[in-house]
This record gives sequence, C-alpha cells and structure tokens, in this order.
Amino acid sequence: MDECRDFGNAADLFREQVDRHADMVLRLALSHTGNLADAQDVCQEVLIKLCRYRQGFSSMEHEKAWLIRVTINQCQDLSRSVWSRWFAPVENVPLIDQDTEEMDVLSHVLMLPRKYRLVIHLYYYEGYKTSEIADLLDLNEATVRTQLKRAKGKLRIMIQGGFEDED
Amino acid sequence: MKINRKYVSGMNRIQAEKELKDRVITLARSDSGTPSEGYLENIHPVRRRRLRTAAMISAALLFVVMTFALVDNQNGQEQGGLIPSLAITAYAADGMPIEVKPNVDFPLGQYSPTMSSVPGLPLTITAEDADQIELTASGGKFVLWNTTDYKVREQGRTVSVSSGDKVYWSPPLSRHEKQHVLYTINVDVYLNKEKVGTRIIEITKKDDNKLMYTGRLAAD
Repeated sequence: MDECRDFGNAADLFREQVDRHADMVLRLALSHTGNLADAQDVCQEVLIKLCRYRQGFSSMEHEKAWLIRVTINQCQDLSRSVWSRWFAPVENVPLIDQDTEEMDVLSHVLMLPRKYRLVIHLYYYEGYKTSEIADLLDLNEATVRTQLKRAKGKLRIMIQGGFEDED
Repeated sequence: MKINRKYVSGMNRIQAEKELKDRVITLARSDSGTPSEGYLENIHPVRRRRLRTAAMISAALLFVVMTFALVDNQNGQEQGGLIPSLAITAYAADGMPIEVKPNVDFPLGQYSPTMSSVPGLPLTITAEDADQIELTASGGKFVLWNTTDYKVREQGRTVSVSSGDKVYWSPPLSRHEKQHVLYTINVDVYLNKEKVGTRIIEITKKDDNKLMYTGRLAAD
C-alpha cells in the first residue's frame, strides 16, 4: 500500500476512479468467475492495482482497456490457484433477490462455460467488436466469433428468444 | 425483449456496494501493507470468512484427499474435481443403475409426470464425508418418495439430501417450462456447512412426443 499512501490530494481522484469503474470491474469479474463472492474479491484487488498504477492513461478508453485486461488476469490467477480449484469454499452470495426474466437470463449466462460467458459479456454488455475482444483476450478473431456463435446457440437452447444482431 | 437486452438489463442490477468501494479507498490509503492486528477486519468480508475457515476446511479436505489417494479408485479419478469420492448414479428406464461420468451421455429413458409409476427420474448422489448435498434444478421440481408409505413430498427446484439418498427430478408440466429442452441440475456438496464442490448434470429432452430424456455430467 505504500505506493498509494502519499497520494494526498489525489485521493479524490482515486475515489472518482473507483466510483467510475467499480461496477464495470465487478460485472466483468462476475462474468469470468461465475459467482459474486469471487467477483467482489477480484474487484477489490483490481481497484487497488489501479491505485498503485503510476504510468497514467492516455485516454478513458485506454484506462478501461487496462482495467479489463487486469481484471481478466486477476480472474485467471484466481481460477488457476490450487487453493481456489481444490480447497476454497465458494460463498453463496445471491445475485439479486428478484425473480425476473432479466435475472433468469443472467443466471443462465453464468451457467455457460467461462470462455462463452466472457465473450457474451464483452460483446453484448461492453459493446466491443469481435476484433477488439480478440485483442483483449489474446485470441484469434475467428476463435472469438466461434465462441460467440456457440454461446448464443447454447443460450437459445436454454432460453426462448433470439438476439438483436440476428434480426 | 431479446436475450442480449435481458442480459444487459440483468447485469445492470449488479453493482458494487458502497461498503466495497469504501474498503478499497481505506486499503489504498492504508500506510501499511503488512498484516497487523486489524488486518483481518480491513479486508473484504468474503475473504475474511474464507481466511477464518481456511484452516478448518483445508485440514478436513486434505484428510479426504489423502485418504482418496491411498485408494486405487479409478472412478474417482475420472470424476476429478473437488470431491474425489463424489459419485452420481442415475437409473435407466428399466431401473438399472448407471454411474454418471463426465461428458458421457447416459440414457434416462421415457418419462412423463402424468403417466409414470414413479414421481420422477431418480438420482442418487453419494459423497463420503459430506454432511449435506444440495441439488438445484433450472426447471421442473424435485420429489422425495418414501417407498414404505408411498408418500410423495414435493421439494421445489432445490432439495437438500444426505449422501446416498435417492431423489427424483420431475420435468415441468407447465406449458411455458415445457418449451425448454435442456435442464441443468447443480449438485453442491457441503462439508462442515461450507460448499466444497459443485457438479452440473445436464438433462436433455430428446423427443417431445415420446418424452425421452438423456443426461450428461458436465466436465469442469
């Protein structure tokens, strides 16, 4: 934390950054980890890293892309850890205590394999193009397109309805 | 509303709580990165609970894992994952038990809630040392059936059972739910009241007219 200790007047700036990005980081982490407890953990770690980051950002988009990359890395570290895979208890933190169609769809997306729910989130929620998702995830664009197609196919089986970009 | 719109709408309800944001600010302004007397109180509640239970859970699970390692249990190795001794048994239409293995379809046969002599498709979950097994279905309902007095107890979409209990999953009757062809059953295993493992069983309705069902244990 020493790196963050002396930021003094920058505290207000950091709070603004937290307010601006916390939801985005939490939602992305949720789509990666599949549960809210781990997502909250990741969100906290990522925002602390943001505070420590001293190189600055050239634009808001640059800052957001950095956060997305760091969030994904943090989630991968969590899922790779022996502790998480074999021993860590999964806290049952309910998403939202409302039984709505929207939350039902969210729950179904979170039941998809990780690679599918991640591309669904980046494409439909964050609005990234498949080429941009490929850059963020270090994948071929063709792979992203395939994953997106398969994810949509699985969701169509689980949930009645279609996607806007298919009209 | 399209699926992607519903997803966005649902995800919009997920928001970082003020407590989480305040904790991040506090940690960022902290002048010490080393654990101190108040360290445990300054970290996220979820992690705090984990740390507090870590020693107990790890000791218990280490014992289970080591015990398992001493036994040449091929089936357990194929199951993999968190609870090596977890075994899921389904039953074919003729009543023959089928041990469920990852990524291998298993036949459940024909079933209709209105025509069958049993209250659902039977499943038996065994997990040695588990003190509770919780099953959650994406649709339909669970039923417990006492074959001595033939009383059927409907449990809804979630049911808690003990290791070795037989539970019946009954497909939905409502018109809306019958449109689904894929159902998932989450099997959560608890040890010392902490969830230590999860498996997902996918049940597919193959033919709507004959109501044929097959199952599959999703791989991790």
